[in-house]
Amino acid sequence: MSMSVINRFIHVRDSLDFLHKFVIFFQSVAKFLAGLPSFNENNFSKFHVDSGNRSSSKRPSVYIPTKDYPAEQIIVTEKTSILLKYMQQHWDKKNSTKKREVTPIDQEPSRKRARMDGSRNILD
Amino acid sequence: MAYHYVVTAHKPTAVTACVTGNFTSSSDLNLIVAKNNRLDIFLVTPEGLRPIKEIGLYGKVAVMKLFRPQHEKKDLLFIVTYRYNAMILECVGDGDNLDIITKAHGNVADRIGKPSETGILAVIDPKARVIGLRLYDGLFKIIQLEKDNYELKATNFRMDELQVHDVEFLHGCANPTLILIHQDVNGRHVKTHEISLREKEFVKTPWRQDNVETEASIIIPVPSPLSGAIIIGQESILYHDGITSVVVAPPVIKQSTITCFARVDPSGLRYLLGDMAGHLFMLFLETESRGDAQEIVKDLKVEMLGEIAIPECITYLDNGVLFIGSRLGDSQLVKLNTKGDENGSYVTVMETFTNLSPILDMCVVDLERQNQGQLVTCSGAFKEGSLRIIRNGIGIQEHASIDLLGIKGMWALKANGGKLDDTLVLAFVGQTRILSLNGEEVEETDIPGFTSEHQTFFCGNVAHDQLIQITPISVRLVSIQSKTLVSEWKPPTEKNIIVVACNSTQLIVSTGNQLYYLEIYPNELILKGETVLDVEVSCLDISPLGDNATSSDIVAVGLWTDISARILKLPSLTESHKELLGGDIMPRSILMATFEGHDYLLCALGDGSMYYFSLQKELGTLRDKKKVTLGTQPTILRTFRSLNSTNVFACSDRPTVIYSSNHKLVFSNVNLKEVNQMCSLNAEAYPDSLALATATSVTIGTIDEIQKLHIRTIPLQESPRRIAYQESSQVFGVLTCRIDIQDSTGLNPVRQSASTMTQAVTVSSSVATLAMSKCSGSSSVTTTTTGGLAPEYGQEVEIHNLLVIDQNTFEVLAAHQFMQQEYAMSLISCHLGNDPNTYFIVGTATVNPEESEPKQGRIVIFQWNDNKLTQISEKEIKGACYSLGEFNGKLLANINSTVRLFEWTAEKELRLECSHFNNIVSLYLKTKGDFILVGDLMRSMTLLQYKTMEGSFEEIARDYNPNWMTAIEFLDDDIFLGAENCYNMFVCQKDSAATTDEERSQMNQVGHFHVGDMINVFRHGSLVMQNVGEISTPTRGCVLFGTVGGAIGLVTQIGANFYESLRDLQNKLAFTIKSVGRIEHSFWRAFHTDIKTENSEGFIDGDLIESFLDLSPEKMKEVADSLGVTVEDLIKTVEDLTRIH
Repeated sequence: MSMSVINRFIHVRDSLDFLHKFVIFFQSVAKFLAGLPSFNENNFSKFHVDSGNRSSSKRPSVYIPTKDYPAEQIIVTEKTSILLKYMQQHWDKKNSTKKREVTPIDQEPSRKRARMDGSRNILD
Repeated sequence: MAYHYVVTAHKPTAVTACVTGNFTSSSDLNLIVAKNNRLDIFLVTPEGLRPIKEIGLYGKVAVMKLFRPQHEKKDLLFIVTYRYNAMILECVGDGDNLDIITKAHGNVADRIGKPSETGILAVIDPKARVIGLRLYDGLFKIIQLEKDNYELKATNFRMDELQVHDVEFLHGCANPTLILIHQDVNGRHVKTHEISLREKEFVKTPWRQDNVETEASIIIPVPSPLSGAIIIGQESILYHDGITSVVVAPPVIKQSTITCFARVDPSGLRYLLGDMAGHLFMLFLETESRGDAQEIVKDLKVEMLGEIAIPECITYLDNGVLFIGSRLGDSQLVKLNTKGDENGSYVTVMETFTNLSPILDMCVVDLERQNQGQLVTCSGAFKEGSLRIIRNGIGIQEHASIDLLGIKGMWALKANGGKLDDTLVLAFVGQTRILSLNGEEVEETDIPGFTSEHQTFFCGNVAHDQLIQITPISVRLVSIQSKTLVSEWKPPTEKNIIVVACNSTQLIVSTGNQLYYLEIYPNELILKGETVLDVEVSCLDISPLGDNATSSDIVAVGLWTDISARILKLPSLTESHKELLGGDIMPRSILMATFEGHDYLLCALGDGSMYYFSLQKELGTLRDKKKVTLGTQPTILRTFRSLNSTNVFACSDRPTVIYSSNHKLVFSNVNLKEVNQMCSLNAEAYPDSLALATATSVTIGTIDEIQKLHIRTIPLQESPRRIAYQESSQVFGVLTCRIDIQDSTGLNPVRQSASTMTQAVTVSSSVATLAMSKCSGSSSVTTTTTGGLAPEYGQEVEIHNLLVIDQNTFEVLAAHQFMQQEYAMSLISCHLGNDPNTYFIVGTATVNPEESEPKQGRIVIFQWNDNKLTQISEKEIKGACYSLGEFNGKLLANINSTVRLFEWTAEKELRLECSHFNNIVSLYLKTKGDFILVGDLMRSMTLLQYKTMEGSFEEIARDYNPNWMTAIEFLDDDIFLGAENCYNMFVCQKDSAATTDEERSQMNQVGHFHVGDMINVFRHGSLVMQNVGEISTPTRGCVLFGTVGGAIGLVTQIGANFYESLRDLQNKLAFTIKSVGRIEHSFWRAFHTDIKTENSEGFIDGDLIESFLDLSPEKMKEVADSLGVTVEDLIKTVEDLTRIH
């Protein structure tokens, strides 16, 4: 069982400094909080604050779908391990570089030559 | 074989994720909240949050994100579950016809890979090109979001960084670019990776920042045009965009650790931050213009806004309102104010959402002795710690009470014709009294047209601005304006009126066999019909059915002698239906009511039982007779409205509210002992209230929103760990833990909480040397550093306490503080040996951070007597006492790996009798007869037997599967229930009849099931009244469980045949009900751990079975047909099952 105790330090004096700062800059908080974004300015405008801190337990209805929509897309996880993939990529790269190396050789006339000597003549 | 039915009685409430966006349509602003495997969708409206739909998933949500594909007008929801099912959901339709379409789905698990310790991370590129997933160490998975491909490919990228703490996508990048915080031996670093989708690799690192703060853990990506990211650490906040970097270390954030954030502005200048202590901050980016008109970040400002519930997630909704999702306390809707209040807080809580999580422990008690259990849970932690009292029923909040004896009837009147009730008419034997309600004042008054010489049978406002009073002698019609009698009707015979019923336009009066039907006109009562019945009338009703109806075409009659209920047509009073109720108890109250658009006839008898029928009002006929037992005394039925729905209050010795949910009638008891009469009251000082008369008083109160489980919160402000009930002294014992901080004056509590606010604090002996300075009810313990180590300055120390709490007031009567470093682990209340006293026994552990497991502990015995908590005895032990149990007058204790039995000597000391050693860490303990069930940390369960003659333990059977246990319980002598830490539960059976010793010594796993939530506690008991209704369901026994997610569920045994038929229904429903996210039901409920996955067996998923009742009639029929049963039978079977919780 791990029962580690979290060691943390609180600098009380810093906090006091901050409180001081807080008082001085409380207007800056107001500045921070000015012009909070609004999607629809009516939202929450009719919220009954007079009822105070109310506790909510209303539950929405449970969604029970029975209609089958065909799947538009499926997420397919690649089954190849990254090691194989790496080797494959590496191989492809090596091959492709090799190809470049061999291309000039390819342009050379083939070393194989048609036998022009007498072997054919045997059949003759 | 053993078969079980498992069902959730209270769904999980811990909020694990929340998002805001336009989900249901482009013009709707939605809040989506994830609670374990459920999503709640809300709409933001001028009135506040409106719940729209609750969606169940076959998986526990790990990450939930909203995103908007380019050129789309609304957002899509992306979810990954803990079992790596990914899905993209879209909401279509409007109003009540919403449909959730699974646009894409698939499992993204790899066969190999080490799951990351920092959990599942999922991020979506701001331009919605790709989704990134960090599931396993060293791998990063990318799902390309291509609109036209049927297959969305999830590709693994190799990631050099193994320990990644957070990851995000940067904004404003040509290619998707990740930013992450990772850790290596040198510390934590921030790094960016540009993704090449073609090469399926990270191609370059645009920028990096090594050695950021060692505790940096959160990245906030900043939107364009600023771009870059904010890195949140323990003490500092860093902004970096690859070129400029700004660091600040605001002292205010050091107090705790920031755990979540929410962006406020779309431009990304303001962010909300929440920390583990429940502080809310605002982070503000100050910008300046660089030469080329481009803004850059100049400074970061952080201000504390106030205190909130300890947040798990925060989201900005609209117009300064936020949702705070919490796992440790109640979630909140809060508003930010531009002006601070007197405490310097800029936060106002608007609404709270009850949350039970995490449930650490609970006990089932029957405090009201109503044959109905209630649960008391140890819920929440830290400042959110609380006890929750959960009972099935409805609560009444009492606002006023008047002592009055012998009330026979009660009605609220608008005597002055206003919109609100201002008068209460009370009937007594032989007289009537009228009370006027003047604000909160109540005084006796009189209405000249009414008579006070007789008992009133009915009184009320009727049509044409008139009042009516019906007494045994006559019917009196009174004008509101003049308050004088305008018309009076007396029965033509000399007989007295005995039974009446009245609505605003009609009334029906009986003088025995005679029935008279009258209609109410201005200043006039006109007799429209009369008849003579063969037997005497015992009760009548003429309630109009349906919304806004003011008159009825039928009248319901209950009769003596032949014990029947009849429906008569109006105005002819001809009989359209006669229902013989059988038995010899006569009907005492009859009522017609409409619930959820269905008409019912309820007929309560003199013995507390009630019949109910569905009523065809046009035909005047009755169908579907059913019977329930509500109480034991004559019952009176009254309607009232709450939340725009009709409810019926059954007044009896067990007051019950009857309402309809999902088109079935629900009977919910009320937390009052006895109610004789009741009426609705909507007065100025008491809006939407009820007046309830008992034998001695009238109470005015409001009724809770209709719900099945009623939850009451007792805040403790510190973490409760264990609870035990002591019936003899009517108190609860609760083990709690609070946090103290070492400062210049010594150890001081971080905040005032239950253990510091009580007057009677005692301390364990070795802390007794510490000076206790008490001032004004708060205690502070100052160290004088004798013995034990004084903690370092600023160190937080856990202080454990035993609290004694009154069972009625829930006031903390006393607190006992344990020693420093002494953790209270276990608690029971029991008798020992021949000692007549009941004791609280606490098992503790001395925790030394250097030791891998505790080497020392104590068993301490306390007595609560005479309002004083006294330590009777203590016993040093060599380890942690994880659990305690009473065993035939002796004390059983799990101490580290051992199970030990102690005897209670005449000297009031514990003496070790015998031990059992065959566990790793024996955590849990349950006893039944001579048997002891032990749950191990990782070696599942073992059954021991105590051999009285030998005075030793014998190991009878063991489950040899490696299960890491979280809770255990006996189901019966041979069947054992266990829960383990991969959110599964299983059942083991001992085979006593096996031929070989070896077979006998092995428990067989006969059932397993994935619950999807970690079970912390099992308790025998039930939440429903034990004798309500005719429960024909063949279920046996009931074990309740509480989970980390705040859910309460139950497990009950069922027979083999019933299991088979429910299994068929379950399979059919799993097919009929489509899974959101297309996860198979069998996949979800399969027993799944890191090492194996096996299909669920021996358990029926009650949650799925109960959803049958929410199906449309056509689908119900389809399901029933395929099973070869009638819909009615199937509904009845399932309804009966829902009544067990």
